[in-house]
Amino acid sequence: MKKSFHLVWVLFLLFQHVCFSQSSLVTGRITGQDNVPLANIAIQIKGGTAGTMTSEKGEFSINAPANATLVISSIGYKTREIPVRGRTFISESLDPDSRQLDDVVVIGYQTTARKNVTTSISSVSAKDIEPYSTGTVATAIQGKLAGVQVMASDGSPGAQPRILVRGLSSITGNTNPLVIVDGMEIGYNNMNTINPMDIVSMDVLKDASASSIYGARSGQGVILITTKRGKGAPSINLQSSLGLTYSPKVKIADAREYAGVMNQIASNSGTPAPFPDASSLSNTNYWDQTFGQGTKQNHNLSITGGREGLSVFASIGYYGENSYAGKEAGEWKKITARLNVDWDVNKVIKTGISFSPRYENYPFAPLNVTWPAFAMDPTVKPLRTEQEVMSSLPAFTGVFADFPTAFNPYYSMPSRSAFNGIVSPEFSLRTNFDKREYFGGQFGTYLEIKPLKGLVIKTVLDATANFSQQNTYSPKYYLATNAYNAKTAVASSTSGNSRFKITNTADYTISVKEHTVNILAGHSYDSYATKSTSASRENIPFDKEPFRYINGGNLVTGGSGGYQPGAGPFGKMLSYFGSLRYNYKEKYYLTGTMRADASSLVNPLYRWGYFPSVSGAWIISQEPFFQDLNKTVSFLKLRGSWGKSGGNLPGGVGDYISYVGAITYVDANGGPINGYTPSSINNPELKWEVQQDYTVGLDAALFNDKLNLTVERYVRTPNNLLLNVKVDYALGYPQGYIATQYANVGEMTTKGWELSVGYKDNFTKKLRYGVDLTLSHFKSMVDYLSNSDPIIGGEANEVISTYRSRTTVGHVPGAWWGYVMDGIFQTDAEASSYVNKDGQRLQPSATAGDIIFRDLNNDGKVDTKDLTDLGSPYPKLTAGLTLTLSYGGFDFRTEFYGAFGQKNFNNYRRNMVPGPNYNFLSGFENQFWTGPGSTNSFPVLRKTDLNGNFTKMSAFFLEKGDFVRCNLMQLGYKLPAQLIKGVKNIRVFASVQNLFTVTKYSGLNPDVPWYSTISYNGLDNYQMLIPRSYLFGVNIGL
Amino acid sequence: MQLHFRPSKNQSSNFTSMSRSCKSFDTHGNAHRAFHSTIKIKNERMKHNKFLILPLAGFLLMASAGCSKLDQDPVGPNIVESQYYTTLQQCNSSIQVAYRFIDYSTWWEILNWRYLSGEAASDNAWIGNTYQATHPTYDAVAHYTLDAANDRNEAHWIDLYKGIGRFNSTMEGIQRSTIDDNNKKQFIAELKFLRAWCYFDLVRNWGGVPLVLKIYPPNTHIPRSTSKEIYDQIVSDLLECADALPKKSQYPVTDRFRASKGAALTLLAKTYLYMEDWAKSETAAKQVIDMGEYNLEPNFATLWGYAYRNGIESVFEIQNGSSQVPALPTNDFQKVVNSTADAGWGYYSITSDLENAFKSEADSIRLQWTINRHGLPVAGDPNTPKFDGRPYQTGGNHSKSARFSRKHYIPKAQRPANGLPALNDKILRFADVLLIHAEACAMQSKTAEALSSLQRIRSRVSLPTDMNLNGWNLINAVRKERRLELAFEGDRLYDIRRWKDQAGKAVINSILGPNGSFVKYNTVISTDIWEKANPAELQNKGASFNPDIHMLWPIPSNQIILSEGEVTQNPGYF
Repeated sequence: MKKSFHLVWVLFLLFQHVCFSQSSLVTGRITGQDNVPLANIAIQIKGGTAGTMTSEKGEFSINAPANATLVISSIGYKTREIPVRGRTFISESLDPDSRQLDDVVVIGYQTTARKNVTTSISSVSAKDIEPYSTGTVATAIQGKLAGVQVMASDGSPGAQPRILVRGLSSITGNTNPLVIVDGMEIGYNNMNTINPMDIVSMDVLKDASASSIYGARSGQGVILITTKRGKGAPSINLQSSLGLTYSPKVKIADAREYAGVMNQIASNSGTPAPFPDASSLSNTNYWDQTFGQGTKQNHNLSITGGREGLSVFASIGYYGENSYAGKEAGEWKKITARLNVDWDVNKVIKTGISFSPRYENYPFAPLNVTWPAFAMDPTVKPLRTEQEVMSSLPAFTGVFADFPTAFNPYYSMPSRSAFNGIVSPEFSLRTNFDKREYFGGQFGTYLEIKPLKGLVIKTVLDATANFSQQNTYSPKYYLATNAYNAKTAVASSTSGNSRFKITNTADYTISVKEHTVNILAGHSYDSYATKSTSASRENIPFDKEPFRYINGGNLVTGGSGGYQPGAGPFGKMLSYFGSLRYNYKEKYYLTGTMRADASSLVNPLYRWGYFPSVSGAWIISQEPFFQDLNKTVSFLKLRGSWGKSGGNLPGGVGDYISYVGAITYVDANGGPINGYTPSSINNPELKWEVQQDYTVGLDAALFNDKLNLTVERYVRTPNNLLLNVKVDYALGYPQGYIATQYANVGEMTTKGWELSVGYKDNFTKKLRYGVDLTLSHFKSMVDYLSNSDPIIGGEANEVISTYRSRTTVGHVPGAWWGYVMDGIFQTDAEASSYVNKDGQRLQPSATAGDIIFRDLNNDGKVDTKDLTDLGSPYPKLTAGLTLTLSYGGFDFRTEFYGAFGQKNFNNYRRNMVPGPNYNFLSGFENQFWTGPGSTNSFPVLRKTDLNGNFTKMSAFFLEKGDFVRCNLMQLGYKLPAQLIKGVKNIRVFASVQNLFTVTKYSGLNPDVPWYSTISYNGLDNYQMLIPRSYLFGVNIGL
Repeated sequence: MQLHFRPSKNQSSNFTSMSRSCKSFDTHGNAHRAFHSTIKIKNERMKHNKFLILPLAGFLLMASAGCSKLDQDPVGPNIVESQYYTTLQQCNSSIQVAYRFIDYSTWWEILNWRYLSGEAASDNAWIGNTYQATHPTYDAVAHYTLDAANDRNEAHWIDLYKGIGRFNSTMEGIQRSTIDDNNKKQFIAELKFLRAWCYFDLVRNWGGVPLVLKIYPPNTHIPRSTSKEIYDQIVSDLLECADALPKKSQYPVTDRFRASKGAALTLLAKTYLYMEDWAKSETAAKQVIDMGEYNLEPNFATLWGYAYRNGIESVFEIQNGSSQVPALPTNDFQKVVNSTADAGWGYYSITSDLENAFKSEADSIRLQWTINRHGLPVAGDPNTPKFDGRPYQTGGNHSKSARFSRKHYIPKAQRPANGLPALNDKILRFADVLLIHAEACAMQSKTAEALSSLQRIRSRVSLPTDMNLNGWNLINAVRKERRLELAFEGDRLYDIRRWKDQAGKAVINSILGPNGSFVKYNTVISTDIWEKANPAELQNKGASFNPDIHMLWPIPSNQIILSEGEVTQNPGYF
């Protein structure tokens, strides 16, 4: 076929030669990105019929008049028009055609072109991931995908942000999306094990219609990560970056200011000043002393290429990050490698392997020293000398009898404030021996057969395995009579998990006239198992490294271990799935998918879950009546979808089974009897949380595809939500005092919309720019909670006696819940005249400076019935903006992320509570009430808080968290080709991550890292701050 | 198109061996055969599609994976209920430990209610504790100002039903087991005895309650039965127990805490008493008396000694131990009912009214073994020559009345070092049997029989018995004897609720209520300094008693909510 094609061209050329005798031979070379020669590029003379194609080496020759214009075109590249201007050699490089509509989208067991997609899928490709140098790919995509909210992690190395796809999908369960790397589920928490530089694209299946092909596991959305595979001429890429990280500057009060406020509080409270002589105090800035500079480095070497049906991608990467609080606070080293091989054995059989081992090293729980660094009493000197430590030790009797053995004064040198009880952060750093190593990998192989035209049959075997080994050690120390550890302890644990999966699919496409039908049928079996062992001992002979392991201790204090085949969250699963895709003239699309899943975690009687979906699309721009508009709107698609997807299971093996547990009784002689008695009667009908989702969307391309636009509106209804509901007392279930049981009863509605706009153009040929904007909005409301309503959240203790948040019908899950604040009593008289209609005081203990709580229900009392919804911790709007600019060899990129409309619980306000004497932000105390007229929004600082200003949840603690942050600013320069002979390209770049944040929020971080339960979301509570990073790097292509 | 794949000659046998390796596949012979025929057709007809073999092999591998069971047992410390109750040992020990749950949580909720309701809501006790933040809901019960949301009332309801649920669940397990019938019969009877005890307590507190005799699925709601239906169930269960249970002496010594024929008959006699079926009550009590298994301890004091357990007078008691390893149930109730000066919580201090009742009979033995009175020595404890009842004047953790129970007191020298007291809880004792008998006979005017039992009780504590008593005099004498003998053992309120006077009116009406004798005594007559000096617990306790409402306690409001209204409230409560 190809040969005959060439022959036609030759004849054609001969004919041309005859016709245009003044023409001269023009030769040339066409290359693509990075100087790769491009074959089969059509070269035509504009206005004529003559043309040729480039050879394998990208070379062409054509007879063309000196004043002719060559039109160079090929699928996948932008068409160029080149005037010959008398030249005989023309070298041109083509830009890839970034027509988004032709991008390949991974849709779950299949891929398709963007324009054919009928569901909600957001995608991000390597070019938007790679500029952000990180070990945690989730961080790199913040703000880049509409409808995918990346909720910041804290600033510890290796901390994993949380991702919400289209709002909250569960109340008590997990809301993390399913993460699938090259077809294999890796578990959300393993997402940061992937080397971001290996990723070619991430496709997020947002609506149930897109995700339900993944059935029971897809309710929280599905993130499909595709890694790079070999293609084209061999090339070697080296990428390397080095950087420094810094904690954002925080100015906390110094000794004088601290002592001044403490004295003032004492004087407000009528107690003696704790720092009578404030002028002679020593001052230590624990914040500055604790937080310095961390490092980040990222090195990757990859080789990609293909030849004669065999293509290979291989990479090795190293990522290293040290906390800005020092290595002791967190050190993350990650070595990853990947080998992806594909082999077209012949036209029918294709096979391949993927292999990606990994080694990591980081503490399981990175140390957060923000709290002691912030709250520590600055008047205390940071360290004691060894002599001071030794002379402070108690007599070696009682629990201290063996104290000198393995005692090392080093750990006791950090000081402890006798005044506020806080221990210097240095202590945590010195005594942190938590070390973990992780080994793991993903292994896959496939066999693909195309026995008939249009039919692809594929079998995939996948496995993942992860092992970790942890060691910790608690040294002896003595800080004060009530702060010591008189026993050394060592602990060691290992854990492993492994997953095996087999997937078989048959994919058949047939076109009859203008009808195209694609049928996919498949099934899979997936098995996950965990194993663990741990041991702990006490008493080591010496405090030296070799003794800080399990064999160093001589007194066994504990050991445990377990093996769990079919472990949670989904157990062993057997699945069948299929889809039917139909389109007519690539104009009308209809898709149906169906999945059936059975999990070992569900009662055999209720084991199978069925997850159907339908979706359709209408490409309006294909209609004849649209022709006139096509110049402006080149593509317009309207689509709609409905689907049902599954969510969490309770997660434990046998949660649907009833148990007996061990218990003792006493015989008639007072001796023990051991037996078993009913311990829990569980709900046999437990099954998946489920959600239904309705989406309508509009995709458009305008102005020659320069502008791409997607707008979507959705309603999703998570139901069957697992809640711990109370069982009728009379049934006498044994578990708990008030017996509760998980049941699939909760219901929610999430409504939202998303917008993404991309615009690309060039001012001049050299000066190009691009703007990408995403906007996402969602609001989740609780519809039904059975008898679990309300689920109250946050603690009820001396900190917040009325709880912080509540999940209740008609409100956002985890809404802040407290008193409405009506300002501050400016005088005692005002406080005593705050009475009900019977003249009784509403706040009998209040005096000047106390918060006015509103009697919301007007019942003449201020009590817990007046607590109300004070706002949502979730942003009303999140936005991401990426700007790119390139000029010749220079490229510039900046990324912004913003969140608006959320209310944060500012714990830095809460901790101004007088009594514990925590340190505070410099100048913050000036906000608080000092006398009539001083403020109407901050209460007085006074030791006795009879009014509960600091212990009753009220609007006082809440603050708007709106912010815009510059996540990235990067400038790169590609060295001119003539400077770097023998090397394809060299690009150097410098970037800053987390450059600045614009906000009115007064806490330390408006982008509050999320806790794992709904009740604590939005609590700004001394989480490690996200560092600012300065990086310098180089990319070399060989 | 070129062919690269060569099917091996023995491919068919490969498939066979693969499918054989999968057990459950063998059970689906049809699928097996159909599969082979499919392969065959493909081999013959579509030569160039031999590639299909590869993915089909994959499918088969898949199928073999699929038939590896999705069913799996949980791994961990718990035992699946449906796999337990297989051996005799398992069944036996599950019964032995079930006794723990007659007093549900090893904590003090059930005992607590027995004293809060049975004593403090009567004329025997005050709440006493006037300093803890938690006492108001206790006060509300004792002072008859409670509502249906009262947490103490709810706690007892929950705990009794938890006991019933546990006994029902265990019963279902035993019924499923394949142990021999005699053992099965006895085990089930033991559980029925325990369950009958719970229903007896339910019906005397709340009247007709939901009758739950098995484990129901979680979203079931059971409406209330009538109190007659509850009593009938108790009687039928206990009759079965009396038949199936061995005598106490037939048990091995260490097992003599288990429900016996005597215990079943005693509870049956007591139930009939509440049902006012005097004849049947007498018969059942007489059977126990004539069994020869039980007698009164010669010395009343012996019963309350720390070392006393399961003696000759014991019919049924809850066992407590003082071992920490394994953790045995302990009786924390001593702490609840002791003076705060002696590390107690100061609940349920005894009224001077009860003290006067002893004094009016010159009953000095039972007085000193029932009441520890401020300033007096504690009987049997040489280390406490002057009991500190911490009356109000001394401030701090003060109590009302400064008198506490001697029956729950452990002499200082006998207290275990680990602080875990092993005092058993006496649920049924032989003195109760005699008093049931005396009462049942007196109510039937069987004067001689009644007097004989009454005399046995009084003689032990060196009190003379007027053998000329008869009619209402005798009935009232038996009733008073019951108050004195069983004071502070949790029956007082239920007795005065069920007793009717000559006019057919519940005795409680003349004791409590605005004109009740007890209320009048406290508010008008009494000069008791330890009671009158503490205003923190109101002196007019019982004045709010309303016979139209308070003959039963309210059904806990959460029970009504959780049953979605299937369970209805007692009259007068909201």
